[in-house]
Amino acid sequence: MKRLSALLLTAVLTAFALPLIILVIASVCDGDLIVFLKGGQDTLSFSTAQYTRFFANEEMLRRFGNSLKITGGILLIQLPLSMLGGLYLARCSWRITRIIRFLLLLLLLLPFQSVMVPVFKLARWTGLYDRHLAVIILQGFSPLGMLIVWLLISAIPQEQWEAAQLDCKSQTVTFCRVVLPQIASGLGVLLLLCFAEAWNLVDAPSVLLPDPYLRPASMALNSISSRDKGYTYGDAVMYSLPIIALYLLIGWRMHEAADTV
Amino acid sequence: MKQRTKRNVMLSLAGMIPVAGFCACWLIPLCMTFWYAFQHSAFDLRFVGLDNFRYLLGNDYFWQGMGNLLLLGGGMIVSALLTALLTAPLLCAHPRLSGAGFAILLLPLLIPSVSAVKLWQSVFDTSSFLAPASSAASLLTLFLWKYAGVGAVLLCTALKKIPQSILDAAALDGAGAIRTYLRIRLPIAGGQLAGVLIVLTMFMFRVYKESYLLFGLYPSADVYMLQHYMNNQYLKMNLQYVAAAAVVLTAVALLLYGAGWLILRKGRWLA
Repeated sequence: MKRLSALLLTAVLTAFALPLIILVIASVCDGDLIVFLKGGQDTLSFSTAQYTRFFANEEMLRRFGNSLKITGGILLIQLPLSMLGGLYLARCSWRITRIIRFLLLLLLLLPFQSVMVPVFKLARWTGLYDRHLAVIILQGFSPLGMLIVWLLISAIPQEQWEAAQLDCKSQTVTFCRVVLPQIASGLGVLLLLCFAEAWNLVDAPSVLLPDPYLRPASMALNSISSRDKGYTYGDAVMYSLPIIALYLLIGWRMHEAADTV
Repeated sequence: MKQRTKRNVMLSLAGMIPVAGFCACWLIPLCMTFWYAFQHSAFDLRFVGLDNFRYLLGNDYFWQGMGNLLLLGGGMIVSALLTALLTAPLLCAHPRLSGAGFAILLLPLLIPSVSAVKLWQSVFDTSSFLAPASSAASLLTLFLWKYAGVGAVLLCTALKKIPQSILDAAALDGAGAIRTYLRIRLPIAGGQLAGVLIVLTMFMFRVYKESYLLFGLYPSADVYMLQHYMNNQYLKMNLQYVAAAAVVLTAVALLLYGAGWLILRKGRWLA
């Protein structure tokens, strides 16, 4: 029974890992690996041509630049504000904070299409329409970060807070010396999730950035690749690399965060 | 005491910055959606009552989108939940594999959809004229790959919290592994199971992203969802219909989450 379940688990994990493995192998082939596997191609050889093409494609690099700009901007706003907001939600147990927590959760659960029209109207009204700043501000205030920090800080026992407040002069000192060291691993996960969300944006740019040249690679990768000749799994791998690197650095703590949640 | 109150006031003032930003960017737009849904158009603000909803209810594409959203979405949630229910006990039974298992199961959530879609497009040969079964299968498998792992990890962490003494007592009474899982561990973790259901429902409402990347703005009829309808109306600048459809979508989402929340509360009470 134990051996059978180990086999089953290995099969499930292989099924989850396989698409990524295939994607990486396909990116270093001269030809289409999928077509080869389907029997539509006789030979296949190793080649780094897809990566060479990627670095030579100015349009693609421009979209990568857009993604970097948007993601960097979002993280710059979202991370500090999430900590501030999360601390406020965790430490001020008033009726209004309970209502805010509920609203944050509600907006996190609702699809973007629920706010699509007013976001478009507000962006035009403020003159931010068709500018990266519109997407950066909108996502910078998304509820995910504040909720994660609230959950992390709520896990700190009340007695510790009271002892720290007696010893420390201000909330800032308490936060830096007592809270931050305890939620450091959780903040790594926060960084990872916020990065992944911002790096993977599709809905908001499709409404706020009508100019195709301003759109991030998360939207435009497909259309550019399909116009190109040859196979472009290399683009897909290159776009996943930053998130995989970040995941290898701090992602192993994600299940600890899941435990806290 | 005075100092503590002062600290709380300072914290509240500082905390108001992100909360105000959240209200301006998300909460007020949500309220505005409800307002626009009853106007003649987003550019001609005349109250028209339920006219926009009447238009939607008489529109075949709206019903097709809504039907597909519920049918496909239901299929996605059920299949992802079943995958999580099957995988979680396996992860719990093999602690040595669970570290690597968690890493493998959570990674697809983070991989950009546009990268994953590349592979799915090649495997399923997606296009607008794709056979309905293949298009639905491609979307369903992509959803399973990206999101079922999260469900499994969340459920596994819930199962691990069950005291060993309860499981030992069940084993002494002669209950096998499967019976213990179905009759003891799952009912105890019922609340968390409902939590997983809520998370999967959230991902289901966001699957439009993957669908858009896979099939574009005009997919085959079988995967045409309410969000496609809304996006197409948006491109025609029929913003009043988009707002009315958003109200309906929000109501459906709230109904589903409400049901999940009730199960969650019942599950906690049972535990």
